[in-house]
Amino acid sequence: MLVLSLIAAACASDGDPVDTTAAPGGGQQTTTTAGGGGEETTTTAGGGEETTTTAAADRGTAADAFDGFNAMTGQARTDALIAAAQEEGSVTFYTASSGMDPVIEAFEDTYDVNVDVFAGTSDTVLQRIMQEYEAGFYGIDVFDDAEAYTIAREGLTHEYINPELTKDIPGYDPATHVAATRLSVYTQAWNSDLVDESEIPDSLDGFTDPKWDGRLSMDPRDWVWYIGVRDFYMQDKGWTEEQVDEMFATLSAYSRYDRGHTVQAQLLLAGEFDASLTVYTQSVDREIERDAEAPIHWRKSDGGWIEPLVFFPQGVTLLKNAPHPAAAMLFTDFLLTEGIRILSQEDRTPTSISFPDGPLDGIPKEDLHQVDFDLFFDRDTWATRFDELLRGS
Amino acid sequence: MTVDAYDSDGSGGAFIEEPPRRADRGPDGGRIWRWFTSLLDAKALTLILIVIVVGYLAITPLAYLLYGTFIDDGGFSLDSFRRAYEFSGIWAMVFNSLIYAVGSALLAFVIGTSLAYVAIRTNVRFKSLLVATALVPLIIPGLLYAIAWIMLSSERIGFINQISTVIIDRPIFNIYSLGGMIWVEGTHIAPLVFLFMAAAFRNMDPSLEESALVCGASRWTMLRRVTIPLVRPAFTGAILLVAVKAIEGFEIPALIGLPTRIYVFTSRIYFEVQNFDFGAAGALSVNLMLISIIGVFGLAKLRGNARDYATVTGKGFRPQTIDLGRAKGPIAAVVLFWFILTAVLPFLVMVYTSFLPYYQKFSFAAFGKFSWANYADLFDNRIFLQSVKNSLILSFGSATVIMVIVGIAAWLVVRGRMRGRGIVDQLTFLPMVVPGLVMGVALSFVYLRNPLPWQIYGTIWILMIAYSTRFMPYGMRYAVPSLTQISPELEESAHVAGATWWQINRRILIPLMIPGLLAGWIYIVITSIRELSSSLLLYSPSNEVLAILIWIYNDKGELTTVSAIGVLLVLTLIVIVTIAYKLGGRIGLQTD
Repeated sequence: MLVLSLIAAACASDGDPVDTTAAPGGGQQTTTTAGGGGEETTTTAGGGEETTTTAAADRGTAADAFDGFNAMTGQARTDALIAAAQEEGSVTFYTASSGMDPVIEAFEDTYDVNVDVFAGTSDTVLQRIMQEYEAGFYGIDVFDDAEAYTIAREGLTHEYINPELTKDIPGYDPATHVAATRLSVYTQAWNSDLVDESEIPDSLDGFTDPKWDGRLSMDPRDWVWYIGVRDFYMQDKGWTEEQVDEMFATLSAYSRYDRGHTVQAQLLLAGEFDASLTVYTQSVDREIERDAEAPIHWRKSDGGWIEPLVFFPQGVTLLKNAPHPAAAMLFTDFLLTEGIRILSQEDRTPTSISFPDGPLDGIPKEDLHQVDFDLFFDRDTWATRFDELLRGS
Repeated sequence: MTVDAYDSDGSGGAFIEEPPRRADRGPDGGRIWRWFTSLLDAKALTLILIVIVVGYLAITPLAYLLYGTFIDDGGFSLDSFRRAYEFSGIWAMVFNSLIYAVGSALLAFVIGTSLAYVAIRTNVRFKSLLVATALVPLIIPGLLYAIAWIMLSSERIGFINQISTVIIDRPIFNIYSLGGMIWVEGTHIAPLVFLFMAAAFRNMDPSLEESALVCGASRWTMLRRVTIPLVRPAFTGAILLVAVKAIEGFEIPALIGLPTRIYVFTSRIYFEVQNFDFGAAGALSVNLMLISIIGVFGLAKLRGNARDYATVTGKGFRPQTIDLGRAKGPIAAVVLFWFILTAVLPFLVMVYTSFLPYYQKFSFAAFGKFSWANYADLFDNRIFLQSVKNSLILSFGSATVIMVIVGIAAWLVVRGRMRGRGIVDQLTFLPMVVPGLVMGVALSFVYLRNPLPWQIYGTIWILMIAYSTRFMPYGMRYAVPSLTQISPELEESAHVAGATWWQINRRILIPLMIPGLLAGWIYIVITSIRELSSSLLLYSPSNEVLAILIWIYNDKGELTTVSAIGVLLVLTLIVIVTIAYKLGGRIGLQTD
């Protein structure tokens, strides 16, 4: 199981971080927080260790092309990219985002470069890329997802340099090779036909009240949410690990399971349960956008919300053996400007660079809690632990 | 699965004597010469080619599966089994899987067989309605069918429970239970049994039944002593198919089992695949395969001598219908009720949802919010039309490829005298025990390291290979009984009259097998359009299929758009199936 061992190694490398990025700043203490608006968590991506791969071995087939464009700025960069991208004709884009269609259409209309999209869930897209690179099949150019950080760690990406755009991304670090585009903000939502707002607690632990038994739903795969919430309660609230685990065991015992955050929002809206513990803000906002009277909410009438708001950044990255490097770079530039504007306005997705009137309007940055990268990369430990926690309940 | 499955005494094909002159050559040089000339023989060439193709399709994914399960870091290891089975709740999972598989197989079997018997052999009213009823669940993809039943019978918002709450003040059925899963899976795979048994009942020589009646047997005795024993090969084949299908079904446990934590083997495999532990997923699959293989062996023992079941003989026959008499009215009512319950309601709930701005329980107020927006969204979607095209190409293509292959393979197994022909039979069966998800993982691994001279990965061909492999066993289950039922005496007569192998095939075997082969073709067209679990890991940009589109929308939680696709898909498939049956009617595929 080559693929498997590769991924397992990647996941289990918590205590032995291997920085294969070989980027400027690699091997130093770096801030890997690429998320916007969030509290900045400083972690050690390079861990101060020697990079294990030489730059030459690490350079992909598209490295020269990327470096050429990375060195350019302004209109000259754009003109050169357009000319080269139109020559290449198309770009292959992998994503797990559900709101990318309008972005892609806008890009195609603007530049007359065709976008081949592979859409799937985060897990399947990640697995696809790892498997393809493992086998020496290089079809993908650009990837936008939370797992962009994972493939960058695996050394499959090339750096992206464009300070004009990235200077506005809070916590941006070129060493990660990933420029954050969107934020997945986990929250709780309720159906106002079934629950009165006065019943809604101010923080997640309020749902452990026995009156919620049998009225909740959660996604049993949301281990990322679990580590974010866990950190919040242990660091900000001073809870012990046992207290946190007990809370999750109770929440899970009170809940039914439904996969997917938008699925949860839809079933909540339909009245299948009274409240959902694991939805994204945009899953709720999108329903309200579609029908202003939809009886679903994550914000109270005074604008308040249920603590904690936990988020993980999703970002865009360039593949080192991209068959269409210019188109890939042009698409990335577009995604970080017009793309995130479309996502914020049309899809109500929180973006790394926030817009006035955006979905997280009125929420102070310190109230958004980013999931720790180190824990995120240790998927094996935490996914299994969350699963066992739910099974035990 | 042994040679004996179709031919327990090995004499089934012995009546077709090879031309004697071949054996007249000397013992030494003769053998090589015979081997050489046989290579040039069209018949032998065809057969060898088929063995190679079948072997290649069946073995490549399986070899990978075993490799991935037992080889770790270059050495033999059972660690994947430890990872796969070391979790709390394993016994509950095994128990649930068994109840689920046995329960749905039995339900499907009882429903499918009764419907088939009534439809084919009696003068029931609404006969074409009955045939339609039997087939509609087959047309609706598992994912959509499960969603439709959730909409109908979820305890809180299901339509059926809404009605029962008005009448008796409480919900009558909770879909989120083991019983709910069995109901949905059982009714969903019942059409498979129906198609099988319909073919068997149709091809049965009714004079045997008539003799029984003439000799004074009661209807019931006739059924028990004549009809059922006659269709036993089809019986065992059908039970085998549905049991294996139920145990490897993925969508229904995922949608209905998960909310109330009813886990079965496949939900666990899915969990492991999602955690990238393909070794553990393989270890679980290997056990599923073992269970299936044990089942197949057991069933093979139940079959008797295939030659005893040959009822299509040189004698003329015309299946005669049985007069239901006074039971005609009540049975018609049951047919109508069944039609409404399993075809009309799931379809209507999808139609209703497809017009809503968001999914909600049934209310007259909701009609005020009806619009075509979901359909408009669909046609705006970048990949919708492309997916429709791909799905049609793939389903027609794989169905045709499979029926040609299994038509020849069936001859080889039932009539051929080649040593090891039993192995061919087992090979065609093998892919059935590999769950779709695992097949996807395996094929992507194999074709990323392409063993063939053409690029397969990232093209539509990898899907074609996946479908042709996955559905070959089903095609085979159609082809074998349709050949078993044809008595060799027809071919023997032709042979005696001097016909060549090709002439016998063209003039006798193929025309007689066509109803069975066509039924198999239609079945594969429909299942290919629904195929999800292996496509999920094999599709690529511009090679999306409809099932993938449904899955993507469902994953996004857009149940209203999912319903719109469902409505369009069901309507399209109804048109395709109707055309196929109309055309088929001319070449002997009968529906009434």
